Amino acid sequence: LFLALTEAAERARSGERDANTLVAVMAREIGATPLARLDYAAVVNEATFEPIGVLDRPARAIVAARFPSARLIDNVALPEPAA
Amino acid sequence: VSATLDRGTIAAAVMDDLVAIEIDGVDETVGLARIVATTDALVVGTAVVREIMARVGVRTRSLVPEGEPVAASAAVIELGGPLAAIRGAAPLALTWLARCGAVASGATRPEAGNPIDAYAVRLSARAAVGHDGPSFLLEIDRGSGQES
Repeated sequence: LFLALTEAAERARSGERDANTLVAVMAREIGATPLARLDYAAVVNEATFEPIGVLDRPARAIVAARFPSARLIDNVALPEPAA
Repeated sequence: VSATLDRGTIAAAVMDDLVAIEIDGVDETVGLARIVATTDALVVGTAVVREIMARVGVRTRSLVPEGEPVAASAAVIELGGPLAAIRGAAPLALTWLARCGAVASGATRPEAGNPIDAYAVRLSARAAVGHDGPSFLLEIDRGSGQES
């Protein structure tokens, strides 16, 4: 999960602003993890936790995945959009 | 050697064990619990415990500063969240807390190339305790049992 979030944060740091692209990056990373089944991946408004489409405000990437005997969650703040 | 542990290092160290823990997904009871020292101990590795517990939706609050010695029966970390997740993740968290404390106190030799052991060694100079190694247990609050 942390690798998926780190990859999304790196993409955001490199200038990616499309939240759907970041979600796809996280989903692909988790999908490639043995035994993991993606529960959700999203980019949300840092203040409201509502999903957003474009990184034009402080945002957080969140993920959850099911493993055979546990469901794990994680999140990371995404780099602030350049002014 | 860093004075702190970064999340990437911790995640890499615990993830294989974390995905193998067993949590009762049906029981949604929430409550509070504490990790308590059963011997005199150095409290080292609270960031590892926080990482493990956070991944299963459990909040942690350190009751003792990282690297400080405590006496037996002292509560060192408070936990809040789903009790099934607390019970499921506790063995792994307790193992890491004991391991880090043992390395920091000199009871266990650090593993070469292990960044978490190296971090624990760094804290040993602050307050070494001479015993066979620390031990911790989980205490769930009486009265916990509130459905979420």
